[in-house]
Amino acid sequence: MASLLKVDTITGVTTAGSISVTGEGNSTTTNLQQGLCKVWVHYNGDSSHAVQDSFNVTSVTDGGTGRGTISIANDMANDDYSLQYTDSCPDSPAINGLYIHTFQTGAYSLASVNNSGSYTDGTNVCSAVFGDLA
Amino acid sequence: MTSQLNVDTIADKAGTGPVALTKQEGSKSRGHFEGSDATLDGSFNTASLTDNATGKFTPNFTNSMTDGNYSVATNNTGTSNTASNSGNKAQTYTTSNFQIVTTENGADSDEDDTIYIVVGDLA
Repeated sequence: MASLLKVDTITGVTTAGSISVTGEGNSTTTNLQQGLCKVWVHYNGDSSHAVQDSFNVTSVTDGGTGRGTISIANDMANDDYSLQYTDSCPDSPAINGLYIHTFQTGAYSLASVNNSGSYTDGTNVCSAVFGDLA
Repeated sequence: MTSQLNVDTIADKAGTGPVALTKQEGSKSRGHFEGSDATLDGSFNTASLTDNATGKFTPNFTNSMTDGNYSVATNNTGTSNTASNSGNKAQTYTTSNFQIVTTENGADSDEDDTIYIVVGDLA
């Protein structure tokens, strides 16, 4: 019989921020907190930088054409986190590269570049952060 | 009434299998390193990083994946940190590692702040 446990908060006993869960293949465990996405955002790449939806984000500011800075609500522990970044590009000018400009505990900045090597606005900018919260 | 559960490990009812996280799952490995020194500054489930050659790096998992069909996202800031023509790709997926290739203007190149995120099934 399947079982379902309903709780509002789960905390580690030995270390409050560390809980192991069994992996899919049943032969190993993985750290739950380490695997969770800590920040994600989907915003308009035009000058509005309007946030469509997000998690743990306070704002997205325009850093100039093709560039945006995402401010994190609850900071990361350091600037050594990992982040995924995609952008749906316009037909012209096509985006040739997506770059991470800066990593900070409270923010990170992204940039889109076209085939001419110039910054260019995308349309739907999406990113997700994995790492340690402060 | 709010409730709090204090545990160190969560497994299925049999005690040996995974629990469902209600239509969601976390990443299984990640890393952040400078291509110039190939030293991991931050990582999860990564035992080591092998510097294969200029612009080529292999993150080695601590706990292996169940097969080579996982997903990898990788990127970097580029050496010039401007609108440079740097690129990334992941290749050679095995249960214990994969390879990242970083490029600058079409040639293999060590890049700053190279990152990767792995999503898939553990062994």
